[in-house]
Amino acid sequence: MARAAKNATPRSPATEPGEAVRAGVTVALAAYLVGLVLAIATNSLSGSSALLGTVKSRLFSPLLVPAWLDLGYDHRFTYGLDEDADHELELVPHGGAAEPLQLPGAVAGERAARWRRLARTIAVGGLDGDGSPVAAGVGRGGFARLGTTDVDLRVFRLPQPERTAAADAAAEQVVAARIRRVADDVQLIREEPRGEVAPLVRQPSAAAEGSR
Amino acid sequence: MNGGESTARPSTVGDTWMRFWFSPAPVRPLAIIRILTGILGLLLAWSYADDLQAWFGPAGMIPRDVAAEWRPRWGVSLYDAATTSASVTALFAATVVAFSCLVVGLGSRLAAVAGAVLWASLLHRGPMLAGPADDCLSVLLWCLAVGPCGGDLALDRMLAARAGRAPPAATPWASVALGLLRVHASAIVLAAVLAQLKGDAWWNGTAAWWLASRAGAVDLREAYLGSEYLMNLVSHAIVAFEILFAVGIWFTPVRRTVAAVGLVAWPLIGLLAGEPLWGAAMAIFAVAALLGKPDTGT
Repeated sequence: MARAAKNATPRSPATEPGEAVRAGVTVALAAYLVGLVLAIATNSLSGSSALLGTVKSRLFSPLLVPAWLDLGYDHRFTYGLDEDADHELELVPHGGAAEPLQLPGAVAGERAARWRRLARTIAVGGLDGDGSPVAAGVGRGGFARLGTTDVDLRVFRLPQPERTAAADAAAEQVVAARIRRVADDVQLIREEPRGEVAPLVRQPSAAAEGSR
Repeated sequence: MNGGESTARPSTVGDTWMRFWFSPAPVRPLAIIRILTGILGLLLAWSYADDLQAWFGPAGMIPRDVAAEWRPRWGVSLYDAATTSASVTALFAATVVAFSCLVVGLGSRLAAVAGAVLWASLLHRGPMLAGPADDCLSVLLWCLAVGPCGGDLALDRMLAARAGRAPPAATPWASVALGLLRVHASAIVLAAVLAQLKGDAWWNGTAAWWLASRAGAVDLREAYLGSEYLMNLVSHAIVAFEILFAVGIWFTPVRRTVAAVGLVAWPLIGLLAGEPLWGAAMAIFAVAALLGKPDTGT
């Protein structure tokens, strides 16, 4: 024991923080823990109350948001819903028969997961909501890669068959848009599903036929 | 007011608080977490590397105005000032250098702060690309910045030894950093469990099936087709372990056991969920709970 103690590497003396430092750190820690609880409570999938949202945004957001700490950590992974399925992007020159640029394509791992998150943002946000500017940005970024200023963007939702259902299902196209540059403006033209834009034609009823 | 009376005094909330946060802790656990965090940072940065210009370059798919519109108020990014390909690459290279410095322990605390700032900037530049592992890395980096993470297993330590400086003793700042890591480990897992239990899939035991359908996840659908009970067991076991971990790391008698199980369980859950790097990040939090100082007062 004595030899072990003799051979032990000498340690520099611990620097004990003084009372004032401890008090300051205690206040900072307590404040941060309140901020952490508020961040979780207000970033929930269920939404947040106006009270908690206001308190957090006034007192904590200026510090937590820039540090990427204003997070809900609501890592649910899946509820088995459509929006939880994998999404993929496709860009192709408008009207052309060129090979489409598929993203993530053949890449795998976290890199592919980032492309799928981007595709999901466009799909779940929808072109009427927050997904529109993202879709326009992706299309704009596709101009250089495809060598054109007029592209078609599509987002596909990959099949998520039920355990009890047949496994073979096709990917579903959930977003389709044309993005083009006209002068200095980038335009996004949503492609409506055929049923939404086709004129509805009623079959003439027998009574109407008779009145003629 | 002798020592006997002092030790016999019932522990107050204040005592427990001071003991948990300020009783000195060794620096080695923080050094191990620093190395693991640096490696995780490099892996996550690697997932950006090939598409960096495709996303954030001058003609990238996520223009700065779109990112700025998407991020919350107060969100800022150093990349907003990067208007050329070279400047985007330079900022990203600085991030990789910061993570590399964490791995080898060079300028460790500064590297942790720089890594945290640069990582937050990268995530704010493309918030729609960020995933659960990115969130956890951000927390790990800020916690490392609080404590003396270069006090052991580091080039910093070697240089200090060459200069004749003794290795650091146990310090309260390591205790603060390890305490924050444990608080976040519990908070992150509890938030995840609460989110999961809002969905039917985690109650009716089908969540494992949907997880296996995701790209990047271990595909166990054949096994689940053969046994519904197995699918149910995996779904419920994930939730049960998460609850056990979030609570168990606060009780001294079971803390190390729960944390040790977490070293295996988190990577497995990550593989099952198709989020292997999130599983790795949670395993780093488990290391903090495993190696943290034993006297928590609980």
